[in-house]
Amino acid sequence: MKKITKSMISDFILGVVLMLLTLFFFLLSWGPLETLENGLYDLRASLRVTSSKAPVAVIAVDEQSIANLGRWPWPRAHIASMVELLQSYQVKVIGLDIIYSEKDVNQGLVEVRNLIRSIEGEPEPAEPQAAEANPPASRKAAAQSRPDPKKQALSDVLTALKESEKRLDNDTILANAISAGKNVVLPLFFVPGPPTGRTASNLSPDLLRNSISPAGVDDSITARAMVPPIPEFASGALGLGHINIFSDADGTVRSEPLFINFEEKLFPSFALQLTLKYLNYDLKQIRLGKNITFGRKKIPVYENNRMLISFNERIPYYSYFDVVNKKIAPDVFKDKIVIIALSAAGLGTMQVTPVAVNVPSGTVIANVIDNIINGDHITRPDWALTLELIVILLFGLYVALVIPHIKAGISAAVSLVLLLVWMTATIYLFAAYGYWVKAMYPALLLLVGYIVIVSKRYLLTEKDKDRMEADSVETNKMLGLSFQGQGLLDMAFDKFRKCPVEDESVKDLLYNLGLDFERKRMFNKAVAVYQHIAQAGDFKDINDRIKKLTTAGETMIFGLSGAKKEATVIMENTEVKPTLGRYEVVKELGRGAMGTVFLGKDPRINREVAIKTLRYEEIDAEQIDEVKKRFFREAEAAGKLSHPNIVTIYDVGEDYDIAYMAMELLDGSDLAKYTKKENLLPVPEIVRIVSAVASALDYAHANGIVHRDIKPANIMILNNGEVKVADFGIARVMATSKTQTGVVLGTPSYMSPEQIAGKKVDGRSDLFSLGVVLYELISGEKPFNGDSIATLMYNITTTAPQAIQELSPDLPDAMARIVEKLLAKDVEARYQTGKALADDLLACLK
Amino acid sequence: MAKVLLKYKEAAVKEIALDKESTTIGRKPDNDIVIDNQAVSGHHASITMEGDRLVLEDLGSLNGTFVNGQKISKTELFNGDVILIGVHTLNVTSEKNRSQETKGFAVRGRSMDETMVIAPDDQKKIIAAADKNLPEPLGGFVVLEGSTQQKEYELKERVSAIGKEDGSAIKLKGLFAPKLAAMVNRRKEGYFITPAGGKELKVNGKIIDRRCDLKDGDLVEVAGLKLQFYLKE
Amino acid sequence: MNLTACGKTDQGLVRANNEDNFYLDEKMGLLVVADGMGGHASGEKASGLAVSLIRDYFQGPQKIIGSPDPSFSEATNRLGCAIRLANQAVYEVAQSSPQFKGMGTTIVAVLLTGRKLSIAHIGDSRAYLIRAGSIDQLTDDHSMVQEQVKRNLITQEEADRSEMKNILTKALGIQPEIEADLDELTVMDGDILLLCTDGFSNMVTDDDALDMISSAQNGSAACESMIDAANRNGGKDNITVVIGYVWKEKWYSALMKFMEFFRR
Repeated sequence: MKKITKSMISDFILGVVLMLLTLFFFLLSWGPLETLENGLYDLRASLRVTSSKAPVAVIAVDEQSIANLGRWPWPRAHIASMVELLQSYQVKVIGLDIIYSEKDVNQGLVEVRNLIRSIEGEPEPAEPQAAEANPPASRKAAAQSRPDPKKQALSDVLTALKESEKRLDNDTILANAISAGKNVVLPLFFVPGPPTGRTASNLSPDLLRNSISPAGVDDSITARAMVPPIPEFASGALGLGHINIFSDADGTVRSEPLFINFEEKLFPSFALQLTLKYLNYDLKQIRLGKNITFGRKKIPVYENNRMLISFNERIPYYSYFDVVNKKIAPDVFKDKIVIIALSAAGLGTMQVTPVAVNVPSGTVIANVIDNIINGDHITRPDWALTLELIVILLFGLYVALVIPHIKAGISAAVSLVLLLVWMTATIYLFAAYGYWVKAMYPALLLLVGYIVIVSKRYLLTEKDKDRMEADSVETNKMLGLSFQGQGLLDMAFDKFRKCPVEDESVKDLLYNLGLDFERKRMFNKAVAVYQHIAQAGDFKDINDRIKKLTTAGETMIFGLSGAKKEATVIMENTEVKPTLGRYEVVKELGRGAMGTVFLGKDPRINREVAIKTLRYEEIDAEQIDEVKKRFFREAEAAGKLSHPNIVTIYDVGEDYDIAYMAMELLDGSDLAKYTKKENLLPVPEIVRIVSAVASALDYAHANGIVHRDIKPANIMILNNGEVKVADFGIARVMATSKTQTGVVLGTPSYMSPEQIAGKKVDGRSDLFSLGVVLYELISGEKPFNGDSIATLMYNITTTAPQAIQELSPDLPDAMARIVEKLLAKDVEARYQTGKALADDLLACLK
Repeated sequence: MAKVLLKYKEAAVKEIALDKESTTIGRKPDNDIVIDNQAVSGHHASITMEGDRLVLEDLGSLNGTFVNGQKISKTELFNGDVILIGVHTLNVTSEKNRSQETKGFAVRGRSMDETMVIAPDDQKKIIAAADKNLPEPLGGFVVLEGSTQQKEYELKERVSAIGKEDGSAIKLKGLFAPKLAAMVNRRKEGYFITPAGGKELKVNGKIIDRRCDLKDGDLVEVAGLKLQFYLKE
Repeated sequence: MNLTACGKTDQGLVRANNEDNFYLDEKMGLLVVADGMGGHASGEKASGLAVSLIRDYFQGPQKIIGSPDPSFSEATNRLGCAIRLANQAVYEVAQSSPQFKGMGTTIVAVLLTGRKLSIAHIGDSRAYLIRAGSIDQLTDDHSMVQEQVKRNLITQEEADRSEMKNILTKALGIQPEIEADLDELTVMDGDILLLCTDGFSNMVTDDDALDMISSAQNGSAACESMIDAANRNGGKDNITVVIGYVWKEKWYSALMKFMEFFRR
């Protein structure tokens, strides 16, 4: 069971609020959101487009026709001839989408009529008038109208006038054409607006014939004025229908109002009227309601008796000019609805539809007809609203309950899937069945909900992160302090380093740590701490401290090896090159048993030397003086030794509380690596080395100095092959430096039995150790071993080593005997002098 | 030095020393051990040194990585283990034997008398069978008779007292009420009640003189109180 | 509620060094016992570090770091937080150098705040409550056998005899993050708290401990006799016992002090 956290509760509330907001906008049909929904509608509509199959054709008064037949408006007779032509093509219904709301004003006709009137009605007074106005014609007409030649002539004139009146009377021509075929539907235009309040006042019978009374409450679009065709046309027309096109707020035409309410009469749309007539229905047969029905046709409508138009393409479309010139086969129009409409630029209003722009209104009308005839409608089914509400609810719950509980990545995927499923479903319903389900609101809820919840969570986790960072700073401070308290200064520094150094309290902590480092004489660490503080600006006296300490560090690297006294003296030393006695210290070479070894330079004779220093750290404070004293005694004694196989000691001294020893700088390696099985030296070489050591020991012993720590690491082979023994007497200095009395120091594996026993040792002890080295150089194994120092020591004092020839069968017997003699437990049984050993060894080679 | 011997159908192909911190195995040429076979993923598996442990990890390969016949995602390797990748096998040679490991539970310490620690991984192995969060019983008393501050008490603490004394879970009122009448202990295995302060304690009508386990529905009579014990599921 | 405490630690008879550590702060109401483990001196280091870190934490601002567990009081969360920090410190030191590698420690700590006693522990060091003549263990050992007992795999008797008794399933400082087991208890006047390491609990039975504590004149005598008892029974491990007496300031205590003054 997952824990319910506060943030999840607030996520839930947020989700619910978003859902309610969506519902609110949904029920309100808020404009901007509706526009979005319309966009989706158009997208889906464009997926629904098919080619039109309806028996409709549009004859367009297009640019081509205008160019060839003259400027618009054309004489009505032209239109009449087109109507007649179409009638001759056996067109079923003609929709003449041109409004003739006024009589044709033809100056010629007026004149002709006046003439006729004057000749017929008042010949005398009219004569001069007519003669004045139209002397030759009136004279002729006057001549025909009389029995006498003059009258006859006047009568002829009158006939001719009547002829020309007939020719000129476009209205009559057109009216005749319209009424002739009884198949022309004419347009009405309404000025939309609030109802006038009158009821069918002054409506001509023709208009009444083309309208129906609303059934019950009617919500059709109302009009405040009507522009009907002139009565001559209206009376002859098969039907009348309004050609008003209403676009949505975004200017796109998506629906057709099938009726317009004018003075409590419902006038059908032009397209509806055409369809009715085409299908031989009368307007009176229509039943209103949620669907508008007639016969078996059922037109789903929604508010304002509007029908959603499903736009299709490839509605047959012909140029007026082509038709007039009979370029189009008559069959094309036979038994069809033909709409004559304006489409040339500047003539008709171009409409925008979901699937195209610049659509002439004729095409819109044709689409409506197409939809009705084919029963191909876009509808808002009854269940659409329910479905939308349910989906909004579901998505809302998903946002409120599910998203907060799953990972952002998963919820992104799930949300995307939900969105896709929903969109696909709505698109499918639309494209396949023409069901319009508003996809936008649920989709928007899903998207916005996801973004809000996830980004909120993201911001919260960021906040959490900040808090955790603050926590970790606190933790680091605590731990750092604790480590510092425990003397783990390095770890403390590590911890403090993780705290923001800009913080004054952190600076303080670091500063104290720096002081601690100084107290421990770890100057370079202290400098590192101060420099870390310095990153965030000056603090207390850190800059001074850094300066002092760096100088100290340069002059006195030895400070690091831990002299006990405060290094104030050193700090004031401003010499650039660190020195020790008269030697310039170049660099550290390594750490030995005694202390750090430096590479030094004697500036007077430009000789490089190795400088060994005495490490005081492991020496108890009260013993330092004594240890130093012994150090000098031993070093001086060793310094007196001058032998080709002994490392020469040049100088001993003390500087800044550090005892040092300057000695020959050797370029080579020690013997340690030749004790490995895979690295063994040939026997003659071993003999050469060991005999050289033996002679060095012989010399030293003769001078009363015992090495005490003969081991491979203390025997150097120089690059030129010379053998040198190092560290005479040092073991003694170090051995007694420990507080424990009676403890022997040396390297356990190479110690002689008497050394282990803590007895006084002499040169023969060194020879035993050399025996161990020899054994090891020959066999690659130590003669005495042990899991612990105790067993090792026991073995050295009591057990005999494994016979060396078992390990190295090829070893000459003489050599084996030498080894055996060297490793004798009894001092007396060993070689007594180094020289004796060297002689025996060299004898072996012969 | 640990090493693996790459074999194909029992024929040794080559021996690879595991001297790097991480050795990768796969079909692509940038692997340390390249096995050019369609059954092998581009980056199939890796062998890493974690301290003295040799760890084989499957890098999300298509056909899986098997050690001694078992499919693994990440496991420690021991001497003599056989890794199967595709149709190739890799024989592991290392200083560490499997038996040592399992025997010792990776216990640190010098002897069995000493406090030892087992690493969390091993601990998981040992106690893998059982769920970490054992459900702890939770229960309390409903007061049937007697004057108390509440009608019902839920006892969450390990030790709860019934008495007049401050700090008692079920606090008695009245001048003569005992300071401490009984103690109720909550344990993983259930609740039990112990009389205290020499007061008579009855459970289901029987006088109790030592600890007595409480079951759901038990009637407890103490210091003039009649309580019914209940356990929540 | 007030706390009076005393504690004692002993190397035992077998061990060469004492890796236990404890800390008492009567004013703060804090008692801590830790039993370190690891080679050489590192066990000592681990327990020392853990105890000192907890001490440092409670002497500092006691800021709760990390998200507190709402089911416990603030004081208990502070105790848990201190142990988390101690774990981190021990773990990091253990990782820092090979000589400390693998070191760890058990910890048991109680903190008295008013009437509420916060109990936190990791490992097999225990806290007991002695009230009205009976002794109750307040902590469940994080040892393998105890886990087995919890799961009814073995009985308590088998567990006590088990060779694996010393194998811990949880210890401070062996993994980067760990949560202590936390618990709370309402204390009463006269309650006695006993904190001890396994060197004591493995050597002396609970009832014996109860007898010793109730019969002892004072805290230090009780500690003394408990350590002696553990050593008498073998003293196989370091022994540490800490006893805390919970008492309420009586309304007449000022008067008593006054009388005391005159009696001198």
